[in-house]
Amino acid sequence: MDQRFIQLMLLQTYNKGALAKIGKFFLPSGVLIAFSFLLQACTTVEQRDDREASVDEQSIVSGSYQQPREASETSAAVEALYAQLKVHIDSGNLDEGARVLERALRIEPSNPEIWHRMAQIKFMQADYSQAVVTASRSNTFAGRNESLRQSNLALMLQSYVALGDNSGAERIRAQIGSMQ
Amino acid sequence: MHLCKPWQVSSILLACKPWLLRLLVTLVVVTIAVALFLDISIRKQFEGGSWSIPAHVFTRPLDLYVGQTITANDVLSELADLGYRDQTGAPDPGTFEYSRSVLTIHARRFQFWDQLRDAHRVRIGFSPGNNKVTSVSSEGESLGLFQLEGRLFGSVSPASHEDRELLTQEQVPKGLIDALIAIEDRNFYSHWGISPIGIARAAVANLVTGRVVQGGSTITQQLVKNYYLTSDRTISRKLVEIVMAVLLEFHYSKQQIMLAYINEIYLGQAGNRAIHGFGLGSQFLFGRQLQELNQAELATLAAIVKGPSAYNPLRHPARATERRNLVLQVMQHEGFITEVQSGQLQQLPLGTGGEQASLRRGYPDFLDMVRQQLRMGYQDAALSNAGLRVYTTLDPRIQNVVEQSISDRLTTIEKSRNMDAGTLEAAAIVLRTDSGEVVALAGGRNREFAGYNRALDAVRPVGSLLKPFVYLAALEQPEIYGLGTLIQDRAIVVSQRGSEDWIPENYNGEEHGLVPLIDGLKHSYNLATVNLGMEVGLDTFAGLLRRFKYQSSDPEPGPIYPSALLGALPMTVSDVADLYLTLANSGFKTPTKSVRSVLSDRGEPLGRYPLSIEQVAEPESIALIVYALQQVVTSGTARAIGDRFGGGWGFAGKTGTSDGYRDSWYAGFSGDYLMVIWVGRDDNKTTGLSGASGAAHIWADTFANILTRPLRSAALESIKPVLLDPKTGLRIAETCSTGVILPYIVGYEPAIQNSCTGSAEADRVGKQNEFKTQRSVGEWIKGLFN
Repeated sequence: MDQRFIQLMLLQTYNKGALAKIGKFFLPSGVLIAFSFLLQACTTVEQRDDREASVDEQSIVSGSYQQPREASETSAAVEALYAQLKVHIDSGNLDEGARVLERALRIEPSNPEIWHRMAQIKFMQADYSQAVVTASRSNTFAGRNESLRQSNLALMLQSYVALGDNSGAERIRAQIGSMQ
Repeated sequence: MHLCKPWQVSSILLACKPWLLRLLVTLVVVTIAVALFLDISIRKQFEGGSWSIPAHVFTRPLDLYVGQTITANDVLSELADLGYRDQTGAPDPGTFEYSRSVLTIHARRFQFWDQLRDAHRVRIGFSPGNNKVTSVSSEGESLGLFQLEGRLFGSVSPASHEDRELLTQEQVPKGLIDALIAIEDRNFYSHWGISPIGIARAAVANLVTGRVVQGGSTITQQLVKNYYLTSDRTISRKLVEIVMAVLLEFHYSKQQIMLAYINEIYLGQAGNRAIHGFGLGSQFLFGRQLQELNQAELATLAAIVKGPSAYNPLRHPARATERRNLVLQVMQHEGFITEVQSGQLQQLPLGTGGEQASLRRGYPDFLDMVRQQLRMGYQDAALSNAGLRVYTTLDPRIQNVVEQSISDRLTTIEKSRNMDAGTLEAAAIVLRTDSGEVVALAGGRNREFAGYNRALDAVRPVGSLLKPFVYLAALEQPEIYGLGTLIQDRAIVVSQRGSEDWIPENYNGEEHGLVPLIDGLKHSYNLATVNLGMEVGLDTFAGLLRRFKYQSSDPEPGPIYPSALLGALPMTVSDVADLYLTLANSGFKTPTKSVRSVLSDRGEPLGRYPLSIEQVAEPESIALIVYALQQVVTSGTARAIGDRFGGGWGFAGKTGTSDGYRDSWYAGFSGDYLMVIWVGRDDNKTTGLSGASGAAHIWADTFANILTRPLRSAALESIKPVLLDPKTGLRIAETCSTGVILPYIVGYEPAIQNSCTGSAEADRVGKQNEFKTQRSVGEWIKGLFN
């Protein structure tokens, strides 16, 4: 896979619309949260004999406490950073592209698309082992976003090939095969 | 015979007193040699621009973007830290206006990594509740995001403690030069370096007023004294000073000399940091750039030259105000300002914001970590001389919350337990889980004390904090272990070669028999953990720690003994954070870092610390451990945190308590931050605190006051919920109305048992927890995943 192909992949992802993908991603994770609620409700054995917790638990439980404020997930800022990313890629400044993506990750740390683009940048920088691991990281956030998972696997496969790691490449081929 | 005539000088020199001639010649030669030497050294130093400028260290910039959850007050605090002033219309750089949910910031010019951003105005719109950003625009054009610059909060100066920020000619306001000339050297533009008239005038002025209002030294002499000489008050030094002052005037223009003076002058002390030059002086005293100061504030700076300690406006505001007003009066007398202006300026407040103002906060503990990281890539000389700009990851909002939480909670605990104030100490670190960036670090409860940094240097036994890694070592063998696998919580005797048998006990001294693996971790059972650890193998456990790149800060790390399973492994707070970061990161290890990038003194990018990750564990086994750690918070040893915040946040964590309640630990993470805290005593005596009753409180206090994200379960297709009988650890039919649901790795689910309950005991427990609804659990699960 040459750089032009990767650039094409990048351009493709721009056009797909990040919002729709984020929606797809959060649906399954919402389901999992509901699942964890259920698990708590279903716990059958409640043994409260551990002294560690009971020493002065009362002081922490009583009273009304301020709740944490939930940091937001947003897209406008990330879209703006993607625009900067494109400029850097077009001018061949891949280090700066990576820096812009790091900034995007600070805003949306669990956005699998940002991780995927980071993997693409690493690939373009010929840092294939980082490309593999970053694409793999993207997949841990991808949930049921099949197309993104496949893109990540394709990138991992190409990276393993570039590394000359045949067993790694075989493993990924098998995963791609099982998905299809 | 030659007649010596005393009135004939030449005859004296040539014939009558030949020694006198020799003496004279020697004197002339020596004087010329000294003058030449001084001349060379003056020029060499002056032209070499040889000021040692230590690396300057900045907090992280604050990103502001549409949709962001942040209150207007958060942003206003940040602006206050940066020394921005509230002024209608935000007319100048360094000012802002906040009105009707719209914040207008006149941002300063700032050198970012990728660009020198010019000063410009930006408008930030907030939601009606002022807790969300709804618009970001500049000059009517909508922006995706805006970055508020970081604050210079310290410097790295391994060799010298002299600190300064160099100004160029254009950056020096005329008002400062006027004030300096008026109060320090009104003949500056006409003398040759020394001013006999000035000395005489100063003497008269001092006599008339009865106090020292003027010094005899010219600005050139003061520069020579500060720049080249020691502060000895000897005649020879004074003579050298005079010669050098004249030489300096001979070689350089008045402008050059004034600029050097402005950059050189000593203006005060901040801890062990000597503040030199008006550039840094302005930042230190006012939290603002020199160009942003008004005439009264410039006069204050000129006023303190005479005695930086005696006229320190932070410590002695009345005395400083009096001298500032004197400067303004002299300026009026010299015609630099009018009488009306002088009168008005004398009415103004000092504008320093008081001694405790946050704009001067130094964060010495965090600086220790910055130094550690920089030393790996930069030589000491570069750090102390080259004027590098170091952009760190420090988030002052979170740092302040951590410090406050530690201070308040330790005071509360000491009071409620009748301990002497100051008995307890604490250390804490907060990191971003995605990047390993350290956003806050506290090396003790005294926030301004630059001394023993417990977060980096205090090596203490970690108690139960290592248990998750014992359980992870088991769960990495999914064909044998799952969260529901039954393990023995029974007495065990561990033989150790070369030492006595080890007989661990549970905290409450009881045994619980066969328990599901998840319960062993959730309730922190020692016996279950040791049984499991010995079954999995100490080597496997040690291998896992190695794979997680665990490196002890203990200068003499010993081998791993079985007691390490219960945390008899001394570590620092930052060591623990390093280990837990990989758990919070789905098995991906990323190095912790406190510096993002380094620029040269001219703003050229020198080095960046890019994101780099490495996979050291499978996300599936980590997902199981994280699930168990979430259960620790909802219904295990840290359930006080779960009770306080509710289950919706999904926080995960683990308490730790060392033998004899000497060390109280907590390590916990949300969707974006990991925090590790230690509470204990410096003399290593007992505190009576468990992890839950000490450190966990500080974690909860901190997370209650910062912006964070819930911890979502990893979105892995390969993890599925399984209904099982907790008494047998076996899978039961989805139609059963009892049982517990635990996540399992697909393909490694436990075997199916025929009945819903495998034993009478299980049947009894199960019935107590039966679902009230008609719908079976199995149907419910099917519904979830359809």
